[in-house]
Amino acid sequence: MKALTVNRMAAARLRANKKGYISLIIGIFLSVFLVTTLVLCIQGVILAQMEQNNKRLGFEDAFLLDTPELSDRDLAEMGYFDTIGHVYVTAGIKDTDIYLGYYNDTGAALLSRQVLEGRLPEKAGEIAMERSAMLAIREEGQWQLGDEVTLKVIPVDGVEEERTFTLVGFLAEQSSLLTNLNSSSRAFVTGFPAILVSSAEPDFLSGRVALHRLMTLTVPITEELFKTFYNRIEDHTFGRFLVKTIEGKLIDSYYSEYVYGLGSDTFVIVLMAGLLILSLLLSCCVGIAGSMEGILSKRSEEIGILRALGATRRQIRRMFGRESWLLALTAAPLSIALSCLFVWGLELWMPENMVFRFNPLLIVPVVILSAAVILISGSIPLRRASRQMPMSVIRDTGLLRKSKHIRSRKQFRVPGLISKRLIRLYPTRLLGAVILSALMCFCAALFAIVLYGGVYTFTPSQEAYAIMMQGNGSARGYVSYLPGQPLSDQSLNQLRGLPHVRKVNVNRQLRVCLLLEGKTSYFNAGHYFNDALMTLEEYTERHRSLGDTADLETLRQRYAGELASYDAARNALGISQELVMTELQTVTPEKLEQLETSLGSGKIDIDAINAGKEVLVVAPQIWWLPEPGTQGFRLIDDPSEAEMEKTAMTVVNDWAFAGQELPIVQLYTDDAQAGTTGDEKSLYESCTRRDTVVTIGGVLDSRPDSLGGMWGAVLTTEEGLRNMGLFRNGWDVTTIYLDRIVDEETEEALTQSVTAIARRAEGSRVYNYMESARENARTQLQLMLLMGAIAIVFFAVAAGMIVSTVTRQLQADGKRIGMLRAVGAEEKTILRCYSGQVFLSLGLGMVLSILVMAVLFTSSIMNVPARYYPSGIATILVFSLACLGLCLLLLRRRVRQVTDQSIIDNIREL
Amino acid sequence: MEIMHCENLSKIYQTGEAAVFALDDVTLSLTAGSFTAITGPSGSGKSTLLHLLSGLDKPTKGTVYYRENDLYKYNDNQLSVLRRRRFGFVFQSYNLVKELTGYENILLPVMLDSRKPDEEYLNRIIDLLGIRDRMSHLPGAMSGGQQQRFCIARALANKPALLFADEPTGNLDGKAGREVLTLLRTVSHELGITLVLVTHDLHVAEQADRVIQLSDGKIVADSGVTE
Repeated sequence: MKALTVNRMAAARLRANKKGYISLIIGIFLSVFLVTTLVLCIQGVILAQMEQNNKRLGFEDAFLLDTPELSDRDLAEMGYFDTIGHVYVTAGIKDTDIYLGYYNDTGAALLSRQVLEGRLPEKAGEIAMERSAMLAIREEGQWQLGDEVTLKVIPVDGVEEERTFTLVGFLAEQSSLLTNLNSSSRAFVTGFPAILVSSAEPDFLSGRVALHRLMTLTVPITEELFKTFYNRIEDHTFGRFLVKTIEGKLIDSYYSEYVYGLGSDTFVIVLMAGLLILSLLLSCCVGIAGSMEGILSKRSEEIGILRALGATRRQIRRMFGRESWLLALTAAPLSIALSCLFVWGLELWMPENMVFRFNPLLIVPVVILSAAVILISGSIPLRRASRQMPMSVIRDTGLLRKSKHIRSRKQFRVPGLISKRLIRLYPTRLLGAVILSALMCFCAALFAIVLYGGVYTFTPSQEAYAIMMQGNGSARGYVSYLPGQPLSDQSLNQLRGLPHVRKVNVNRQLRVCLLLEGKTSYFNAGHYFNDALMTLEEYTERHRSLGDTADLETLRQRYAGELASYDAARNALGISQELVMTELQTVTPEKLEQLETSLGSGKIDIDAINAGKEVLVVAPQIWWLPEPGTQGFRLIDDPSEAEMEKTAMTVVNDWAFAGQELPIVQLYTDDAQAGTTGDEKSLYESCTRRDTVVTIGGVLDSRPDSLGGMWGAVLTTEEGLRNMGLFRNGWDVTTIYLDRIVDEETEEALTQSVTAIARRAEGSRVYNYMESARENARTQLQLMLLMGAIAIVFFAVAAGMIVSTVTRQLQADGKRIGMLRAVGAEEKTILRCYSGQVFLSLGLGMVLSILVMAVLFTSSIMNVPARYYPSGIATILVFSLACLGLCLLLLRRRVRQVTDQSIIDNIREL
Repeated sequence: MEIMHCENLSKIYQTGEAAVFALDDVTLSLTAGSFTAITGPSGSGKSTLLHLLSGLDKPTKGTVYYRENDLYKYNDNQLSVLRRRRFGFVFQSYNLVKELTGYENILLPVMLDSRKPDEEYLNRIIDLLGIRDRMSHLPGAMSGGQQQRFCIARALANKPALLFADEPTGNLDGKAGREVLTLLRTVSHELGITLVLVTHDLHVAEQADRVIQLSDGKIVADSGVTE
């Protein structure tokens, strides 16, 4: 005779009472299926995105740009890179942002450049190029394969020369994507070749070859690892280290902001998927716990008898818990297989967005998560059941403890009283259903808000393109580093002449210095505050407010150093006045006129401004600096705000008055290495200098939000700047407006033309806002679908949960139903006894979700505008009513199943 | 005057291949206001007969007439109304709704009929049964005898024409059993209710106007039938 083990007993019970376990097995099956599907989907989305990006950007994980100080061996010794490929940049094409170069075999394999037409260069004198590069170089027409092409090249750190090549191929666009740099350049050369030559190509007469290295990582990049590389590279003068995120962004700083920031698509996808997983797991937990509770309450007498016969709590838990584990073992392989099939189907349906790859390692999280769900959800009812005393289970005396709160009624409606009493005596039975209803309502509200929040659409009044230049990103002292040229007037006119272009605006920010009589600390409010303009007390106070803990003596020494450096600069430039660095911004005449409301004194005379005679300056009459430690370094120009805050410093405008003459000096160099060796004197002597004197036409009393910039900024128009005779390179944005919404084909042609024109200016980047609008709309749609899917999942789960909770009670309450029928209760009375619980679950769920919504939506985390609330509440009502209808329908069927039996069958609980 | 009669009443339980005849072709009639005891050994079909007469279960064959109306031609709702207005049933295992207090259990059939309770009548029953001090208790807090009294009170609450009692003293000790039986007799006599009682206790049966004895689902003796 076989020994009676716990497993055998559990298996026997399962075999004997298959029907009773249906809801439990469904719960377990669903939880394993959902966990597996979601894990596979997250992996699939990320892999698909990586594959797409690898096709466009190559298979490398990281880049090291033009860092001659570090050798391949140095990199290999770091132990993080397993492949290192080379990209050699030999020259740039004159007056463009286009580079010429070649790869070694590893580099070529990593970048895997796609040839659209022709072939890659194989011998000296041959080139292959991207079409946008051709358009940027040759405005008047296109080259054909086999054409002789003469290019004016400037070798890296060399002198211009001409060379003729044979065009043998056109390449897919890649170099502009790899030059997606987000901050100012520290490297000598940041571009990747848009024109490829053969490695056999002879060297140019002058210059050097810049080497960019492409690396694959042995370990996934983390923030810590990134910092290690970043700090290592930062030790070198020009080196630049970039990593490629799974979204295909190249980042060289602000790692966490890009990877964990809410702007990150992948982070959003993973976050949403995580929320979905958690919610579904919670639903499964509640479902499994409910099923277990139902099974155990139906078998409470059996438990009581086992306890009376001497079974310990632990034995009871093991006996009944083993059943769910046996069910899980049976259900898991099938659920995992079905889930794989489902994700594989998704890949077939949308191969670009989903990749199915069965990784046996993924089984580990699936098993852990599934086991956790079953363990947690099963343990609560098991513990509760095993904790009861034998007789309290058999006679249900537990109820008596709660009876003191019950008042006997003299008259009542039977359904109302029974349903109220059931809720009062067994409040926890509905807990799961209430939680799920609340989750359903909350997701429905979110869905509504995303839906009604309006999908971002593009209109002709919006900017279609922006070309941004970041030429003056690296200043040394008072001198700006301004390589290359901004977009020429000819290029701007060409932009204006493109089809469907309505308007082209240029906003420019140049770094200039004002020459003032006497020191003023007024300018220290901006980003470029100049320590030398402060007194020692102000200097100490400011540095303390910024959290500098250096002792007084150190600060005094630093201050003296600042003064010495400042005086050296003035001496080198032969300037007797004070030198104050600020920004000069150009804006359209229309925008200048709109600033009338901000005008503190003077006037806005557009003609005088256009003539380069007058400017506007941003200089609030008074500003305050809050006390240290209040809100960090922040400036206040609103008197009412200043009254509420504790202010440490009050500064009054003592330099800018309408009608006053303002001498301006602009200092710049195009030498990348100027000033890097520490010899400031040579920097000031070698830089180019332009001087002008203008009159302050008007003083603006506040900084207009639309302009950004700093206090002390000088405003003029493009025409005014030209007439002031200053060098126009710097940070600028050229915005292009269209006269209509164009179709995708026209947009593609337009984008190609805009990109080609923009590439004539070094360091330019083109932003296509129509594409961003489309991407936003796509993200919004994805979000909407996701929220909708979640709401529908919860709708189904909540309805199922409520019905199964009530159904379980119906099954467990067969005896009660029989009694009620025996004393004359009709089917509708029985139905109403239980429908009260459905109403209550949904009602409480609704209230709970509205409360959570009120707290979350009004909090700073979500900050949803109040106008969206009605749509959220309306959707909650719609979902709840639909759920109510479905639940009542299902409940009616279940009640009919019970009442179809004879009363005696009900009472005997056959 | 005849209040109920049944003809060729059979109940067969199918267990796998075998058919068990719980009741086999029973025909009888009941006079209004009488006290009938149904006796017989365990498994003889006493309770089944009572369930079929009271409309709690459906026969496999045959029919039951209440005042010349075929009970099983009624739909479920009509039968429910009949049960709460005309019939009362006392179960051996009391079958009180455990979440309702004693008083609420008594009121159930009245409230299901959406009528105002006849308080004077109810008080009379309550006093007769001696359960006034347990009115606001849940059944779990009562002894078996007390629960049985509440069960009787519930069965009488709507002034039924017929009161069916399935071994009402089976779970009680001798004294309590005797008390309950006396109560049943007294109350039904006072109120003119027809009492049908299932028992295997011959002392109980002796008090009835008529004793029907069942064996293997068939009537083997009926003191009310003259040969």
